[in-house]
Amino acid sequence: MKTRTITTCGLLAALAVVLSLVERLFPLDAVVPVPGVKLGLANVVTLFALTRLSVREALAVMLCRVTIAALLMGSVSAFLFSLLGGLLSLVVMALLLRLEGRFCSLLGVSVAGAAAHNVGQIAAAMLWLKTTAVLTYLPFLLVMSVPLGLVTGLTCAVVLSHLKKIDLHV
Amino acid sequence: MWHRLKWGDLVIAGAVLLAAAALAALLARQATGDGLYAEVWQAGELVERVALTDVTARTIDLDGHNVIVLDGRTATMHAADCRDQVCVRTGTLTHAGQAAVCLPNRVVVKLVGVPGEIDAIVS
Repeated sequence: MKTRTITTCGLLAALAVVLSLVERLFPLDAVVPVPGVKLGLANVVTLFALTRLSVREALAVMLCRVTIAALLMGSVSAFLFSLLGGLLSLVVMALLLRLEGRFCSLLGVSVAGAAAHNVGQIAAAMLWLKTTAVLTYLPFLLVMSVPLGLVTGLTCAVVLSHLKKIDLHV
Repeated sequence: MWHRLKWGDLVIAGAVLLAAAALAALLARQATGDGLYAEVWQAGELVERVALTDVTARTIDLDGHNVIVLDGRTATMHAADCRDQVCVRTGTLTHAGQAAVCLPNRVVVKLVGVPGEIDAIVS
């Protein structure tokens, strides 16, 4: 790994942690009546890392983010949920990104990633609680992942086009 | 930005919504039954199972960590000492298949409809 790549990864990981912290300050489920719903700002970073770096580096950034965020504010369970959600979301987005430009745009990739994140988290919750009762939350979360995935996808697209404009290579 | 949307984006969004609808329909179908019961699970074990009728009035206190109120044919996670309060925000459960989940405390309150007694078996 080049020093430049390592620096970029560190920067992105720090950004993702800050975004997770900021997100906690504004609990979205106080506004939208879906318990447990989150904007998923940290997903912007994962998507960005996948497009500008590689799967390996995106994975490293995601693992750093999940671990540090759990140490700062979470518990063992929160770590487990974020990890499974993050992993599934990353895998789905990495696969769909191969089709980006032909089959779908960045927005579709982001929506699929958001949905996958929810599926991963609910799966982790099912393992943790040893019950399928948590599944009742999934339909609402999946519906919400469409608009929220669009928002995070748009954010990432805007950032990418700006970087292109100022000709900054990451 | 929008002109770059591809048809695949619609397919993805449609698939996600369809999956949500299918899962909701599946859960609703599973839940139907004659009786209505409130089940309280903790760490994968059934703690309480209460038949809900119009006159049910009970409060279940799990050592002060979670307080569950059963009122008539409804159940509510009234209070929880966890940080996220997702279970409390879930609100009142009124239909079989609904659940309020407290992840940090590993507590689940769910309403189940149990099929009524078997009337007859035809062989």
